[in-house]
Amino acid sequence: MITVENLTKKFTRTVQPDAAESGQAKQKKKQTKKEEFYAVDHISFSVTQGEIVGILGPNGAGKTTLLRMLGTLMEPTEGRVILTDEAGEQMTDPVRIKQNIGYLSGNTKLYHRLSTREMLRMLGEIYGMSKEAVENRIEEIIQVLDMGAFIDNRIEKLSTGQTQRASIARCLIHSPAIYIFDEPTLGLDILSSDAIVTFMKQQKEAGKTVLYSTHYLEEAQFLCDRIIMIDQGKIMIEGSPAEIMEQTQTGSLREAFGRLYMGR
Amino acid sequence: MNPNKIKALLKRELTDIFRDKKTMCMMVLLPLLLYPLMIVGMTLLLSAITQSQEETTYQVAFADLGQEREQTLTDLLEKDGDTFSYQISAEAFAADKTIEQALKDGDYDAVLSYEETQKDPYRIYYLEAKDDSGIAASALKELLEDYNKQLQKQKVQQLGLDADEILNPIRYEEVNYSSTEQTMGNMLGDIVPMLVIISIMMGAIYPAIDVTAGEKERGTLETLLTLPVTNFELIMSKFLAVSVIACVSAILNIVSMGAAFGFMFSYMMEGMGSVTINYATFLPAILFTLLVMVFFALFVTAVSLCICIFAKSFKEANNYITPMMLVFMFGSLVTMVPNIELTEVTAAIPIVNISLMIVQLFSFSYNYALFGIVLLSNIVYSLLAVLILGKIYNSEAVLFSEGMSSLKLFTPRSEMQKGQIPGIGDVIVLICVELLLIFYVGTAAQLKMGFYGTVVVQLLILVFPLLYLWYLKADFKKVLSLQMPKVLHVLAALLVWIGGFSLMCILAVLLTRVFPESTQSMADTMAEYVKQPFWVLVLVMAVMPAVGEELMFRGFIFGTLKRRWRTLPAMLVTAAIFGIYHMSLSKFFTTALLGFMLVYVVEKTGSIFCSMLMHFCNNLVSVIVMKYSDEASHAVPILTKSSYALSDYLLLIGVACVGIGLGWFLLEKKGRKKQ
Repeated sequence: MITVENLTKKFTRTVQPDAAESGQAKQKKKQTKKEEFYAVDHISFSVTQGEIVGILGPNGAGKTTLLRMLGTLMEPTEGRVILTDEAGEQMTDPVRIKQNIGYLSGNTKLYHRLSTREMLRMLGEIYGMSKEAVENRIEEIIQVLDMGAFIDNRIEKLSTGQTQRASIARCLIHSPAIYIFDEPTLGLDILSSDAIVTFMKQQKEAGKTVLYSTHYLEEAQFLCDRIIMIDQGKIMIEGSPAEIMEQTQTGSLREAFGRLYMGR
Repeated sequence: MNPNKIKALLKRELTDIFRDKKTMCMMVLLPLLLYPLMIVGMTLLLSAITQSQEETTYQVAFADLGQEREQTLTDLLEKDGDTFSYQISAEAFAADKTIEQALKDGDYDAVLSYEETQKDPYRIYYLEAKDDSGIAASALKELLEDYNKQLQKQKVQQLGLDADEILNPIRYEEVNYSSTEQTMGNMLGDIVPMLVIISIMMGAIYPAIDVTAGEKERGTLETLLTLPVTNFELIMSKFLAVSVIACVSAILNIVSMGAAFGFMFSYMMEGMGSVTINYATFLPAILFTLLVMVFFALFVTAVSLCICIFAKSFKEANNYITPMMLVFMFGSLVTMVPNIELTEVTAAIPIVNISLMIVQLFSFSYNYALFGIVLLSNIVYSLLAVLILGKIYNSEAVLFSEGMSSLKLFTPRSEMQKGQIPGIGDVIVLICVELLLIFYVGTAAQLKMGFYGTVVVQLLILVFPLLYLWYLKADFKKVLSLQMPKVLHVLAALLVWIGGFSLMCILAVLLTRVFPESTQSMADTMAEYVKQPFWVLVLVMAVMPAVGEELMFRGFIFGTLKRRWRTLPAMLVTAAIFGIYHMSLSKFFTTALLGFMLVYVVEKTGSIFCSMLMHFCNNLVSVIVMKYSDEASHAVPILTKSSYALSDYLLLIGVACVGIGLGWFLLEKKGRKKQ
């Protein structure tokens, strides 16, 4: 189970004064201001084992920042992430949390000059697995993801679909309990994105937890047990797809999304 | 810290670098093929050219020499021709064109003629633009010299004198006690430091960019951050990987250059015959150099990682790293500056210390204490850089975004915000550039112009920070604390100075026990200054430093640091930089103390004019003591004493307590009321 308490991230950004204002300001000085803003604004929720939770929201809503903090890639300004393992032990130390998380995003590219096998061996070593365990796990992964044909090729030589499978293999090597995927199907063709969706379903069936963000609302509607919609760093609505449709009195997530974000 | 994780990460970094063809080319191919090819090829080519020049017979012509002269010269050629550097064969000028035309048509390489009417009747015609013609002309010169000597000898003998005694009254022989090894060592000392520094830089920079900016550009940084490792483990693995590559590449470079130069030397020595070189004498020097290289590679790696980490892409990293390369190269040039030697001070200056140590090694003087300082200081600097690196690598602003924000200099000027505050990077650039300017321009000015060179130095200190601020479109008033002080604050500043000055006197006297030579060396430079009129001294040594140094240190540097860091570290660092900047270990503590008082007053009063006044008073006292030392020691003996009695100490401590106490009271209490 992963719990988020009061999670907050503050950034500074440069703001251009808008047109009308700058017209007046021109006589004085043309100036840009720096201001602080909340990318993620005091968010709390928790995800239980075996759930698939979708994080939805328009661009700039704070999805990536939220997931980065969940994956402990980024330190929160306020609040904390607590991971509870099967034995009930709670952990907040980033290194220990990372040990139990498989994190995948559009920005987690692979080392081109290694083969998938070499990469997995290196990762296994870092995750503290024994040599034997790593080799066994690699064989398993080859079976599951059907990677036998290209496991020993350098990653730079792989096709987009193969690279995506190698990326998934990267998240699998240490058998984490929780997967955090940031827009995993973005920019992939139908076959590759179907493979990912299938993968997430399989993991759920295997009792793993999946947290992911996406722009594909139909995909989220049939895949997710729960949806969290955020905007400007805050949770707008939270619940199962059915609950959300009921609350917004719409027939699909797409309509619900449109109503929520148009009416804000 | 988990060594296994670092090992796994390091293995990955190294595999990645070793599989990168570009890096391998730079690291292996370049040193192992290019240098030997270049040097060996050049040596062989040059010797082939020389040989062919020696073997070629150059065709020259004698025009209008007259029967007798032509005969004598031809005889001389036959008799002494073998002793000349080049072989020439001569004949009478027989072409039916002008000499110029004949030369241009290539009939002859050079022509010698005799024109009676001229003051210098012998003329050598040749074409300087043609190599062969130039050589033939110099051969003709040798011939004429020979002729000259023969005539002198004949004339002296005709007078019945001993020709040798008259023409060569002074005969000498050179006796060289330097062994061939020492001569060679001296030559090597000139080039090796630069080669070492450049080859280490070449080896370190490319992988340093690759593991930082390259990682960001390829998008693998975020992948790396998903791993259960601490930032320190990450940075250590990168640091070690780049260090290993830098060392390997530097060693390859040195070995291959050494082999190539060895080949060149032995080729040259072959021509000289009996000289033999005992290469074993260089063994300690070479081993020490290798050791030093390893330490220096660590330093270069850490510094270049610190810089590259701010860049988002290869291109950006290249831009950032160029100034560093220039600074390093300047540092390695120090071996060319005469009279700079490895001392306690220079042994602690990065880059310079490495260069000077290698020079010492190759002149076979081993001062182990100084070598210790060099190695130790390199370790300390590397550690510092690694710690800074760890700090930077933690910062998300650097990892996830916008590139360099602490160095405003590189933003396009049109995008600069008006009234911005410079970054930490700007402070570092300012200090480096100022030190280089003072070191090169200032030293040159002082050598050329003596006292007025000091004016140049002071102007540099004044003008450069102002230009920099102007370029950044910075807020002068804010950064430089340009605010009129209150009368009370002026009074407080003066009190603090009086108290602080007493402390400095005590400190200076105590320090003369530790650094006894420092007062003596000062006296020599003083002698020239004393000759100047009093008002000039006051202007150059009190007013100008008070304005320039205050604007730079308490203005630019402190004005920036205090907005980036907390106040106390900013004050301490400003004071320390002020101390270091005076480039003397013995003066460091007193100037740093002064620097701290000045920065304290600026912080409390918010006005740079207060510290300018204090600085002026401080330097004014020095000027008075220097110019009118007798009168001063008579009036206020405590100023010129080099050791104090107990009563002196008590008096000074008393003054210090009262001055600083009162000043502190005024600044703290009144300052607080204002807020």
